[in-house]
Amino acid sequence: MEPSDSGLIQKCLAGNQDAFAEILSRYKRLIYSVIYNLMGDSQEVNDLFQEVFIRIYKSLHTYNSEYSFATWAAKIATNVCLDRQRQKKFHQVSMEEMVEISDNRENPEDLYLAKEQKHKIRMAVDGLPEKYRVPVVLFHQQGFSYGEMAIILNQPVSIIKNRLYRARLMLRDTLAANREKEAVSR
Amino acid sequence: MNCKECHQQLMDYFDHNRESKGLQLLHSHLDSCQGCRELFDELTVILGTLEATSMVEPESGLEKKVMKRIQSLPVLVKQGDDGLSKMFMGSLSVIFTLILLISTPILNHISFLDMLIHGRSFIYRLSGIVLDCQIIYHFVSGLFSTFLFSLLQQIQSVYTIALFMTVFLGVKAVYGKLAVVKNGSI
Ligand SMILES: [Zn+2]
Repeated sequence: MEPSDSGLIQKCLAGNQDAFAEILSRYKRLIYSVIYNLMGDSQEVNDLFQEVFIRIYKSLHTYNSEYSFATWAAKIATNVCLDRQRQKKFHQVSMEEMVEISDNRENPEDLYLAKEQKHKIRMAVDGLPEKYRVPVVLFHQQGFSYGEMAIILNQPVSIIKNRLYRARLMLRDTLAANREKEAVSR
Repeated sequence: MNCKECHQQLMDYFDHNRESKGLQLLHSHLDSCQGCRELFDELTVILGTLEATSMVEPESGLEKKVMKRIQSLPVLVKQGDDGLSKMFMGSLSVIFTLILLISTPILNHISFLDMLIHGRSFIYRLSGIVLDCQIIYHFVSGLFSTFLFSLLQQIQSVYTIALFMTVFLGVKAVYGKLAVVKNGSI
């Protein structure tokens, strides 16, 4: 049987660093995705990934097993990303930095359209103010529940729910406005 | 169902709360209202795209980089450094409290008068041997008694403060440790 998360954490706290390698391999995808979806800058994502896991390692003794490890780790990742963004004030995503995992069963043209669509949606998400952007990423991309988001963001569910509602409408409006702009320029 | 109610239902739908009764009402409104149907279609594409492209695989080699940095960090000790130092402080304060509790009555027992008498006769002999001079004896012993008296007072007040401090530290250590266990946040 696989050791539980809390079993691994106990091992880490007893000085076993190999146990942390197992935690890392269990949560690398989640944490990388949270950072990638929140940041949208590939070089920085790698730096932040390392920083987040070191932060997780150093604060393992504060982990409370009442919460799921995924939620707790995502909270650390979110905080690190938002701190970094607040330092930088603004960020940009360029076409080259968009590295997507492609599915080569699709035909090239569909693939291109799908990619362009993804890119536009992603740009719209990146353009949202932080308080609307973060719930979109956590709920729609990372699949966290409202209860989990309340823990991650330290905010009541009602506020998060409201923001997510507004964020969806903002996304729709942004994309609709972009379509109109494109139609005019053609 | 009017459009406002429909928006509420739509948001529940994209929250993945899709109970069949609400869903039926939603669809019957969407069939008859173009505006809401467009909103529904656009959100389906936007949020569906976000949800389909959520997980991103970290670059290979990144895991090794993290573990290398972790291995260069000090090995974690059970309960973390914080817990250890608190435990240390806690036991230290218990020992000090005991010493102080035992030593205070003893100190009170050796009266200041005894020490003064012993001190005076000692100085008397010393000054007799060295100088054989009454004036110097009175001067020196006067100084000595004032000095000894204030020293004793200081010792007493220092002991009292130390007693309070160690009790405070002991209580704080015990509660602090509980707080570390309870507090799951960072
Ligand atoms: Zn309507």
